[in-house]
Amino acid sequence: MSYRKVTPVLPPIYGDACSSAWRHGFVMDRVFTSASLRDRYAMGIWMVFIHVLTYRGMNQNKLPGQSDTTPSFRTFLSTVFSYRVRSGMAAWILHRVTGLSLVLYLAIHIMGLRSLGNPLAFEAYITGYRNPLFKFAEVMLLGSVAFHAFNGLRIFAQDMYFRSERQKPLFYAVLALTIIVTIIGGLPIIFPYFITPLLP
Amino acid sequence: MSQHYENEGSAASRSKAFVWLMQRVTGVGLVLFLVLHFWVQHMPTGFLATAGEYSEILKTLSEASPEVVDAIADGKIKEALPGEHVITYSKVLERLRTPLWRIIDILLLLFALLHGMLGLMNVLGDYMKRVRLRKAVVFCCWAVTLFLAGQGIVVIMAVGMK
Repeated sequence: MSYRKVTPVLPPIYGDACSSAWRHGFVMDRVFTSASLRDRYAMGIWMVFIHVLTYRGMNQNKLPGQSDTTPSFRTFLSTVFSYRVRSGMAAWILHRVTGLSLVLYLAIHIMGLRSLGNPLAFEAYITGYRNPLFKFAEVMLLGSVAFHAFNGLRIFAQDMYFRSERQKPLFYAVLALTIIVTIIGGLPIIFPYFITPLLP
Repeated sequence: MSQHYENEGSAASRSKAFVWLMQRVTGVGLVLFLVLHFWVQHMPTGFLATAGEYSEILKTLSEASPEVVDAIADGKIKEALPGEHVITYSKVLERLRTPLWRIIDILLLLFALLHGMLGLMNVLGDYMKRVRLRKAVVFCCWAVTLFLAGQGIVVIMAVGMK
């Protein structure tokens, strides 16, 4: 008789509160083969549904203390939420988020500049970006670029010159520089829209 | 952990090291290029039109074609606010007529695309285990990169040659 490790049908939704049998799979000495075809299809659909909901990567039968490092979106989320956000983690998340949004903006920007073929289309395109809401977006864009640039330079400098315990003060320096540059560069952008009308 | 060291010295490992180096080179280049780009395109300098200049540009454009008059009436093209500096077609044309500016803009485009797409592939690779899926995504990213690079270079050269 062969012993098989079977993954339970129900997901361990209570995390660590469930028994170790749930997490490591049950050892069963008999495999049911008597379910009808309809029952097996129904079970299959539920299995798919449950596995999509509770996907933890490939390694379902991990041992205690073994970390689940299989790459997946769920692993990413659980990593993000399992850490207390300290400076290194915050730097990593912000670098990634700003980087992705800048790539998206770059593609939109390049496709938008096709309007340079026609002066009328270009002036209309620029007028769209001169909407007051887009002026805030422009300042946020500057902030994203500034953070990504300063943090990238920090990573580069840290690889080259600094010990890893210097990362915290360096990260605070990155934040300070980002805020300073965003304010100095952002003021001329929003001045004619939000500050000049307030002046007597 | 050991699996990270298994491929040491392999073609894949060397290509990753090359990507790492490229991200550093393009990143430092982009800092310089983007400071210039921001100064030219977003700060009140001579590369942008002042409110008065922009009003005259719109007047000239409306005399040339009635479509512009309609666009201004519809609010598709708006006059500049007092003190505002506006990016405008004629100023961009004037700048891009200089070959040096065309070279700078194309280099900026290529650096930004390379840095962005290598970063995007790096991020996407973190969430994909299946090798074939990852290869398909990398292929799509390179296709998009080539398309956007072609699009941008054509626009810059077309404007510059006018």
